[in-house]
Amino acid sequence: MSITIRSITRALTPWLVPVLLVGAWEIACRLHWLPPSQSAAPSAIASHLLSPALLVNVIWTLIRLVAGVAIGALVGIVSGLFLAQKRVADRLFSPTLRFLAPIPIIVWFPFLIILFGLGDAMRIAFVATAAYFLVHVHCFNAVRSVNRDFLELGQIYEKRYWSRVWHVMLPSSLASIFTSVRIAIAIGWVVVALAEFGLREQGKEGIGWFIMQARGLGQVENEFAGIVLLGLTGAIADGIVRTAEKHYLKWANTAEVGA
Amino acid sequence: MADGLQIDIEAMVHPRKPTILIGNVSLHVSPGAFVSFVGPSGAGKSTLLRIVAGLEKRFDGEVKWNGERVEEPSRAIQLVFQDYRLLPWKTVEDNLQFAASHSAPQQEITQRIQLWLDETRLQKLRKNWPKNLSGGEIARVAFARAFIDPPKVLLLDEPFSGLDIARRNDLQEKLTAAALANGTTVILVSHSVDDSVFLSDTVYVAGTEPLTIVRTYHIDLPRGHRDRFDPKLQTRVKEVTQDLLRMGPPSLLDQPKAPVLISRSIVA
Repeated sequence: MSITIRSITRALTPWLVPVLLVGAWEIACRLHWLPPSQSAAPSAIASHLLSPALLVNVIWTLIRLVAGVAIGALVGIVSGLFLAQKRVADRLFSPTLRFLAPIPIIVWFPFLIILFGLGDAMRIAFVATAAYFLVHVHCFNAVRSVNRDFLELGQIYEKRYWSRVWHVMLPSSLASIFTSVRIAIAIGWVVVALAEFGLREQGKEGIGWFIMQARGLGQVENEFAGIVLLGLTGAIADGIVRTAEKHYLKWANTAEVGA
Repeated sequence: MADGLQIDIEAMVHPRKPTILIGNVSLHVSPGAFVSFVGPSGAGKSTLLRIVAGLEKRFDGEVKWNGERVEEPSRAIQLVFQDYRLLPWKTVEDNLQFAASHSAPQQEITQRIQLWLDETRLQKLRKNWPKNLSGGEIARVAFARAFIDPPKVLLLDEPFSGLDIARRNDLQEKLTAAALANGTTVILVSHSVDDSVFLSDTVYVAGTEPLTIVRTYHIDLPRGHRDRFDPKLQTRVKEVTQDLLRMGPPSLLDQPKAPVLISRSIVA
């Protein structure tokens, strides 16, 4: 197979399954295999995808998601780094964190409302809380697993504490951190939509509220347009993090299975 | 004898077995000297280097450099590990930068890095990741890194294993030249009797279970001007090799009633 045909094939392969699914969905709607009150054909949804109202809501959701994941990840990395290295702090705080981590995120809702009110601060805190536990656990385990050989190298070269963190511990833990951030983004979408479902802020509702509103009004095309855009934006966000991961981990000697 | 390296180890217990790993080892290494330890695998030679580097603390005794106890690792006493330990997330150039002292001016560090990249012919590989380097190239980076901020004492744990003769010779010449130029005291642990005798002023033959010094050989030829095939060096190599063989398991061929596992005609 020539290089051009191979490149084209590789570029088109990821689209094969979505195209087949969308095609099947379109056919099912046109043949009335799916109840019209519960679904809309892709061709009907497409015209709603670029509606200004929908796009504004997606942007607000994206802002909350990015802010929440960034804050949660940053705090998670710092606490993971710190507790992994300081035994006393680990004995002091880790048991409490292990108790709090498995609590379903929805349970935090009332506490965060009390702390942050009903506005964006609460929604961002909601996302940040979900992201924090995930990133903290991954970072903690990664730092605890740093190869002692590299730490000894830092000792021999008399590297100061922060220099060892920056030059040895963080790079060594980066793969785990990236994985946890990607998972945090995926969970973050669910969490932010939850936070938007029930609480409306005029002009800044968000995609979660938009979808619930469309469902309540029987606007099936709008509802599905919101869901599709949610998925698309999520895939793009994940793609951005994957690109960053590939860049910052290009030194890693790993086999990229299927590449 | 305040100057130089004074090693006085009374005992060190094996970290994983209820035995003594290192027994009574007491020696003095003069400043600028080059000494080697040869001995059976698992004898504790690498652990001895780790003790001198300040990385092992669970032993009875002390190590002193110029009269001061070595209690923590420091840049004055550097260890080139058997696996070289390049940081995989740093390029060749950044690995050398990592070894530089944070108090040295960056311009001086850059010049030293440039110098050693030229010395070790790593210029074209300066932006490469360790995963893209061959074994010989990794060894060269490790050596260059050791001399970016020349140490007072350099400890080498089997640094030439896995290298072909040409690359070994090249690195050994650079090591000898750099050590002489900087007055660096060197302790080498090696399985190669040839290399040890060729490079050193003194060769210590280490016994095992526990590690002690069973014999000491002095090489009275000026370093940096030696011929590997000099009869005096070859005689020393033979003597040291015979010591090591006597410490090893008895040869099958020397046992009168040993089962014939190999054909004598192949060995003869």
